[in-house]
Amino acid sequence: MGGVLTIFQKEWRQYFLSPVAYVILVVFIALSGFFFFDMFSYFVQTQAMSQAQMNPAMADQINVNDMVLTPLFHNLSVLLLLIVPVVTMRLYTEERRNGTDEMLLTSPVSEWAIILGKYLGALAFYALSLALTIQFPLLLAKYGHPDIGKVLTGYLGLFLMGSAFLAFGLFTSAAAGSQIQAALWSFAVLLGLWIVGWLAEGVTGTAGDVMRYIAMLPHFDSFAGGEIVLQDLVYFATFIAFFLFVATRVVESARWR
Amino acid sequence: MSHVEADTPSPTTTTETNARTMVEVRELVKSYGDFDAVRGVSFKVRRGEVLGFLGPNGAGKTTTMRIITGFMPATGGTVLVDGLDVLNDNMKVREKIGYLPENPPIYLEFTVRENLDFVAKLKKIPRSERAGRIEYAMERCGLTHVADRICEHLSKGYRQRVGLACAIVHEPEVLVLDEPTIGLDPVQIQEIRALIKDLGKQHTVILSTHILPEVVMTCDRVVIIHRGTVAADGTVDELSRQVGGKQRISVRLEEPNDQVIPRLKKLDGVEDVVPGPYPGRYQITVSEGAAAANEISLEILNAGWGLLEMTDDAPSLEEVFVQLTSM
Repeated sequence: MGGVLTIFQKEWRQYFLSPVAYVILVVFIALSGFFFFDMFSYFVQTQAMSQAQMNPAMADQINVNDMVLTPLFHNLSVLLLLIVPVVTMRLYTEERRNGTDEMLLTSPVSEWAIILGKYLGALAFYALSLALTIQFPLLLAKYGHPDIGKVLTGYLGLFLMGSAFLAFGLFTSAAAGSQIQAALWSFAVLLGLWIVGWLAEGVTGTAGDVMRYIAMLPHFDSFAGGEIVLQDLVYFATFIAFFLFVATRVVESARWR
Repeated sequence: MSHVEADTPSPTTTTETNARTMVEVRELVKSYGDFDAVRGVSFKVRRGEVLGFLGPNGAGKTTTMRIITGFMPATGGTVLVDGLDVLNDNMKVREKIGYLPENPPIYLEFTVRENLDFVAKLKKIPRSERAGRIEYAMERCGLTHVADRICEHLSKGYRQRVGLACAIVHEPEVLVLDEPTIGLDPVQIQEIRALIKDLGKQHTVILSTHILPEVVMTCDRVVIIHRGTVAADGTVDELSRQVGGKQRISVRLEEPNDQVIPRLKKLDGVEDVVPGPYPGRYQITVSEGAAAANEISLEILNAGWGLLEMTDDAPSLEEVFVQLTSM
C-alpha cells in the first residue's frame, strides 16, 4: 500500500504545479460565491416583502434553509458537472503522453495502487475546493440560524456526488487518447446521467424505475434536503467502486495492446 | 541464416551456466493481432555483461525489451531474470530491473530531485537509504549541479540522464536501455556512452540500438535481431569472422608498382590481390591470418616498395549487420 501513498503525493503535488488547478479553484469559488449572493439577496427581498404584507403563513416558508442552503447545494452540484472533468482529465492521459506510464507499469506497484493513488489525489483536490466554499454557510450561521444538520448532509452529498464524478472522470482519462477527449467524454456522460432523471419523469414501469435509479440527481436530492438515505449511499459507493475497477482494467489492458 | 552460439550449455553444465546467467530469454513470441512482432527469440545475458541488442527499426527490439521488463506479457515463451519468471514473479522481477524506455519517463514539471525521489519511493527504497541513493544516482549521471532545476528546462541530453538516473536509483541488477542515445547531439552521445560503459561495471546491461559504433564501443556481446528472430549472437569479433569468412589485409605503399600484384600473389596463404581505391593501395585476401601477414610484410620490405601502412580489414559490424539483415 506504500505505492498508493507515493502516487497520491505525486498527484497532489502535480495539481499545484499546474495553472489549471488554480483556475479551477478560482472559478469554483467565484461561481459559488455568485450563487450564494444571488440566492441570499433573493431571500432577503422575499423576506422583506412578506413582512411588508404581514403574511404569517408565508413567513413560515421563508427560511435560510429552504431558500438559500438547498438551492446553493443544487447549484454547486451543477458546477461539479463542469469542474470535475477538468480535474480528472489529465490524470492518466498525461502519463501516457509522457511515457511515464511505462515507468509506473514496470515499477513494483499494482495497477490498483496506481488508480487508487490517483483517485485519492483528485479526491483531496476536490475536497479542498469544496472546503473553500464553507465560508458561505459560516456567513449564514453568523447572521442567522441555518440548520447545521442540513449543512452537513448537503456537504456530504456534494462530496459523494463529486467522488462519483471523479471516479468516472478517472476512468475516461485512462481510456481516452487525450485530455480533451477525456474531459468531453466525462462531461457528456455525466450530463447524460443528469438528463436521464428528467426523461424518466414521463416513463412508467420498470424502464422508468431503472432510469430513476441510474439518474444521479435524485440520489443527491435527499442529502441536499437534509436526509441520509442508505440506498443513496449504496448508489454512490457502487458507482465509485465500479468505475475505479473499470479504470484499473483499462490501465492493465495497455499491456496487451 | 547463420547463428553463432556463444554460450551453448550442454546438459551437464546447465547448473553452472544458470549461476552465471542473469537474463534468459526463451523462445519468445509476441503477436499483435495477425502480426508477429517477435518470433521465437532466445538469448542469454550473463551477469555483469553489456549486451548490445541490435536490429533495424521495427525488428522487435522494443517489444522484446518491454517483455523483459514486464511491461507486457509475451504471447509465447518465457523470460527469466535471475531465475525468476517475469510473468509469475512479476513484482520481484520489477525490483531487479531498471528500465529506460526510448523516451525518458520523467515528469517535466518536477525537478530532477523530485523525479528521483518519486521513483525511489515507487521502487520501495527504504526511507533511511533514499537520500543517499538519490545523491549517488545524480552523481553517477552528472546531475548534481542541476538537482533542483525543473526538468522542462533541461536539454534532451540532460533529460536522458535523468531517465538513466531514475533507472539506476534502486541499484537494479539488470539495466534495460532502449536506444538511450537517440536524438542526442554528438557530445551528449559520447557522454551517455561513457556512462553506460561505466554502469556496465556494476550492472548487467541490455542496450538496444541501431547505431553500430555504439555497440562496438560499449558492448561485450551482440545479439542481432531481424524480423522478430535472432539473426546472430556473439562478440563483435566472432560476428565479423563469421560473416567475413576470409581475412583481408590492406596495405599502402609509397608508389604504385606493377610488380606488387604478381609477386604478392605467389606468397603462401595469399589468395588474391587487387588494387585498392587509391594509387598505392592494395587489398589482399588471405586464407591464414598471421602467417600470411608476416610473409607479405617481409616481401614488401625486401622489395623496397616503401610500406606506409598495413591494416587488418576485418569486416565492420556494418557489413555484418547489412549482410545478416538483407537476407
